Amino acid sequence: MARVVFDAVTKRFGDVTALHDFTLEIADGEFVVLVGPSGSGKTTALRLVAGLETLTAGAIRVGDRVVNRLAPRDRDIAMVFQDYALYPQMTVRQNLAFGLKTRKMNRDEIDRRVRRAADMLDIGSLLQRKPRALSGGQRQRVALGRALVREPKVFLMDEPLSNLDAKLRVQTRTEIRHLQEQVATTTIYVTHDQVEAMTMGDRVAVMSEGVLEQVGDTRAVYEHPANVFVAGFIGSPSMSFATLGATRQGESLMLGRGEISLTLEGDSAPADRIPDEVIVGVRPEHAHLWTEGNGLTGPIAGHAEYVEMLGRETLIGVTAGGDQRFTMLADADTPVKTGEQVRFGLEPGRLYLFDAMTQQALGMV
Amino acid sequence: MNTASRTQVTLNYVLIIVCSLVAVYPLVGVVLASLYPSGPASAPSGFALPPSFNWHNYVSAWEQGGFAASFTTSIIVAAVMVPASVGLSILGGFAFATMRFRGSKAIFYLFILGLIIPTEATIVPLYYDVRAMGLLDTYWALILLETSGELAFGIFWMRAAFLSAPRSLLEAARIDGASSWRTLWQILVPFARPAILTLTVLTFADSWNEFFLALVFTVNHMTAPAGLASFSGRYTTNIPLVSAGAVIVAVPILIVFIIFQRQFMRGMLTGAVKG
Amino acid sequence: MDAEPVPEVPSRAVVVGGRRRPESLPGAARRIGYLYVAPAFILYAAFNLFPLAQGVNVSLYNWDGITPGTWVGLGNYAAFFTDPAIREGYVHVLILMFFYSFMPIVIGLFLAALLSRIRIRGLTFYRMLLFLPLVITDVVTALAWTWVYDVNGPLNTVLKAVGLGHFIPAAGWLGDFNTALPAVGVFGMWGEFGFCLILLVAGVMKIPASLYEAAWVDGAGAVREFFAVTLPGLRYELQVVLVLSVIGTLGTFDEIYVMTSGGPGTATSVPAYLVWRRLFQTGQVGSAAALGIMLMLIVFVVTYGLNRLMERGAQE
Repeated sequence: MARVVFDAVTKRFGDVTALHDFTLEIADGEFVVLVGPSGSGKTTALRLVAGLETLTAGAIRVGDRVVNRLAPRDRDIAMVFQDYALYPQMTVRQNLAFGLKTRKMNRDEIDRRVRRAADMLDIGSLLQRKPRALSGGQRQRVALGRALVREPKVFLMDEPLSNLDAKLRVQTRTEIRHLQEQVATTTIYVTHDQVEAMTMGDRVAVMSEGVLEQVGDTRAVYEHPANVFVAGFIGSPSMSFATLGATRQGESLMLGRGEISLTLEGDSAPADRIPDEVIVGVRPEHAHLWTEGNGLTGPIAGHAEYVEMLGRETLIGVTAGGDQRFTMLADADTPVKTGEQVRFGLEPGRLYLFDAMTQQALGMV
Repeated sequence: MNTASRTQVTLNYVLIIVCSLVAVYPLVGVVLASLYPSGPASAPSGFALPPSFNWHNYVSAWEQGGFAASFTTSIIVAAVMVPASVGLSILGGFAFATMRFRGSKAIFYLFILGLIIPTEATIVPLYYDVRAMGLLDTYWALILLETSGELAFGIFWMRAAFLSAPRSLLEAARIDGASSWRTLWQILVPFARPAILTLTVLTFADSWNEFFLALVFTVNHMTAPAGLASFSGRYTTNIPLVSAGAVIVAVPILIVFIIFQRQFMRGMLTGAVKG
Repeated sequence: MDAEPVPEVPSRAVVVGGRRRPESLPGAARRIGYLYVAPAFILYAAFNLFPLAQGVNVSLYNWDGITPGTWVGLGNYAAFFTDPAIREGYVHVLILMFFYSFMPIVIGLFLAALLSRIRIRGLTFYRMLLFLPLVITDVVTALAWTWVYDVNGPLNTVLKAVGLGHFIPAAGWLGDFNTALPAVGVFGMWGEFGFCLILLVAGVMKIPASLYEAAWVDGAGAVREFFAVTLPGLRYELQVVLVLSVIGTLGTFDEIYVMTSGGPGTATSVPAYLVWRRLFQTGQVGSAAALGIMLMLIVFVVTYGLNRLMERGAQE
């Protein structure tokens, strides 16, 4: 059985800490996506599992073996590289068979595995070609195939889609996921694209600057972000944030700064202690232009910085209360123009509160 | 200003053609001279065509210059020296490019030092060393000395070639479980084929053209250039005959050059980078 | 599943690396590297490094190669200042540098400037011709030029034809004390200029067209354009070709041996030829060794100096 465990893993490159105290358990057969901006440590974590880097502290287990000191070839893992890393002078078939030949597998078994992978990836007709005669999408499949034939305990994928054009990316996304479900191999997938993360992963591990910010399934990460970073990273267009002062007045919660003043009623206000300064986050789909009797909290007055017609809907960026920026989604035919004064409100119960100092989530209101 | 006027274009062609003619003229002159009747009396006077085409000069030169022997020597020396030198450079360059081991930097710099050590600095002790080893006037003297003489450049060249391989290629090989030997010969060497070809061609040219070493270490088993020098010393006044000998010696390297010009130029122009 | 903590690898042991870390992991030292380098290094040490040390040793003696030598310490090196033959050799090489290094560069620059940056059809063919002088065995090309300089050779024929026959020295170009060295120089100039030209032309092609266009818009004439755009753009190539040709000139041997044997008298002797003579003909083996070491030191100093000079120039 092949679960992967990161146990307080730390990796330092000289003075730079690329990964700090990283702990994560990945269940057998699970598809986990490590997502984050560059420098977040996600690729480092992947390479540590592969054995392409050695960790500074902690332990990594594959199956139930500690693999810290094992060579990559002994860890029973296979990797798909961002640039595919296909051996340029070998045919596709030779590329696929290489990792098996080095393990002295017998010819029939190699043939069987190569044929199976070729069928699954539909590259049977390409077996005699060399990488330079293949398109980007084809090369990517061969790279996947090379991992498939090894039938390893874990697949490691390092941004395999980033070199494909947008359309191909969407198509290949589903194919990879489908493939993984077929072989049921534990997979660790690294990407900087949060859409990829959300659509592909059983669970998503959001990372930033070497630290694991939050791990959970798509819903958890989207609807219950643990801190400001995760809340702002996941979701597109991203959440708007405003730093406001918070005061309780009886059963209500008053949030305001400058011209912004929001009153939140008892049943949606969290009962715990609220610090004086909070960061309020709201997703664009929960901010609407003001109409009377709409049940929204507000109104907030501001002026429209930009209006982007997306076809299906319109994205409006508003600056209010001095320098606080909000984005909201409105209907496609909204008549707002750039520079106009607008008034908008926020859906109660959909506001995220974060401690302004620790950036941790406090709850929703 | 990439569009040039007609006069500029013509000027360009004229200049290039004139320069090429200047470069080639003495060589063409030698060929022409070789066809004059043999003997001290007839000296070629420039671009005039010979009164008769004496092709048999080549036969005479071949026999009297002992070129059968000297060519054999040159070929044997090159045939052993080139694979040895290139092979050792591949092995060493590979280690320096992909592995870390204590002192590797120091050892590499020692090799780089070899790029500056002129033959003259070591020729004196080498003469006595070779003599003491009983290898004077043998193929081995030339083979060993020429091989080791090429190692500095060869290792530098191959290390640079291997360093240019994408890191992910090596990592994939690592994960695939390839040993260092397999990684070198099945992945890196095919990848660096053009660089290896260039090195081979340059090494061959150096071996074939090597004169100083042959002069010092051989008397009876001379290489082609040394044989030519000796031949010209014996028949100084018989210009057509010696010219024929010169053409004979020039032909092999000329053919290699024509076939592999691209490699030669790449090698000489980028090898010039080490400065 | 067991929840017992995994014994943490002490970070010091892993980071310090070396013996503790298995060699198959990245970052770990791989002793097999020594094995790959060994054959090359053994050969190199045996035939290059060790003899170098030996050479230094021999250079400290006066030795005729047969009888035991006598210690002179740095005497052979001091001879650099006292022995006119040695000084003469280096002076000659300096003169040759004018022909082997300076002239080809000047000609190359001049031509590179004249050639506008357009595609020339059949360039590969011309390039091949221009490279020939450098590729063909030195002995062959030197012999070719011996005949160019011959009493009845093309040079004299042309001179006589245009009425300049009285310039021809009686002893022949290579036999006259004053013309022998320049004659060898011209040979070298011929040998090097093709390579120079190709290198510089390639360098010019690399200069962005936009620089030339900017100069054109600024109203720069051909000369101004050359000094403002072309010359600075060729800084790197010039450095390379300068260092290479200077170093190459210091080691001149083949053509001296073939064309003049250092003569007439010692009019064309050069350091490398001196080494050969003293080793085989005059029995001054210690001195020959010293000359070789001396040459190496000079090569080193010149390379270093030229590189510093060019780098300094690049910063201005």
